Amino acid sequence: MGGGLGRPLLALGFGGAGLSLTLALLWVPSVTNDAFEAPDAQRLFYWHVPSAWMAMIAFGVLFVGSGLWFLRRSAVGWRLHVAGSEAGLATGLMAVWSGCIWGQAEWGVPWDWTDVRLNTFGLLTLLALLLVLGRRAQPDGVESRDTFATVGLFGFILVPLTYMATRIWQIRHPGPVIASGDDGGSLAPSMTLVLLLGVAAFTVMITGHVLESMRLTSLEQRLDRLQRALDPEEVAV
Amino acid sequence: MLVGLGVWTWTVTARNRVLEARLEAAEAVLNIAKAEADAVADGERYAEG
Repeated sequence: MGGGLGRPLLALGFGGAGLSLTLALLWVPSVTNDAFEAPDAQRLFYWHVPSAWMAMIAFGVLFVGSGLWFLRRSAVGWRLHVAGSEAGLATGLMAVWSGCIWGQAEWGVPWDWTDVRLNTFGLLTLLALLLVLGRRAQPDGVESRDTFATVGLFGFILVPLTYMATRIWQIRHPGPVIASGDDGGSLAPSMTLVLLLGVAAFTVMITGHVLESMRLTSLEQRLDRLQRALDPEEVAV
Repeated sequence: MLVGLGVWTWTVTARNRVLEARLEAAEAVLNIAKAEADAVADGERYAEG
């Protein structure tokens, strides 16, 4: 279950991410001083955007898994929930800290509490943190799973809100630069190429991570069951 | 950045390897077939809940 595919995908994604970041640093032309306050920091773009993309995939996985568990008591759904929350936390933090560094360089402040995009994305990352820490703090059971699945389901409302935020309220975070629906975006072809390479590589990587994480949960369940069999006193309790 | 990504990836795969080893050892001690353990992991534990 994912054991055969997860690791090759991780290796492929990691290699692609390394290639895209190398091209971002060495090959892609810099932006002009007129367009950016900190042209050099703009290269964080090639890490920040794919990270945020990975986070959105992870939160989508979390939503699907939460729904499958809540509606069908699906074991696969629970594994998706666990994988989505852990991947969402990691990728959310990747996007947040790179955004803070870029924001400090470009805007002069790492965070803007009035910007809807920043705050809804930050809440999503905190939601993933709550799920990861909460699951570790509570005994595993149907009731606790129902609670966490409910949080995952309702928390997903932040995903479309985050996606639409810069289209509705463009306060500080810039709007979309590709697939924006008008003239195809404002990026140079070489920048678009490297960005898409990064997005593809990070997508492969997050797929590998989700598969490996699901396998991890499956192994933990099996081990838990076997340890109970090894310790009859615990079963009696 | 890549180092951080690599550490995260390594952590997940390393945890998998450790669990696989512990699981194989436990299955060997109890002489339990993997198919049975898979069935438990696939949801029988909560099927009645």
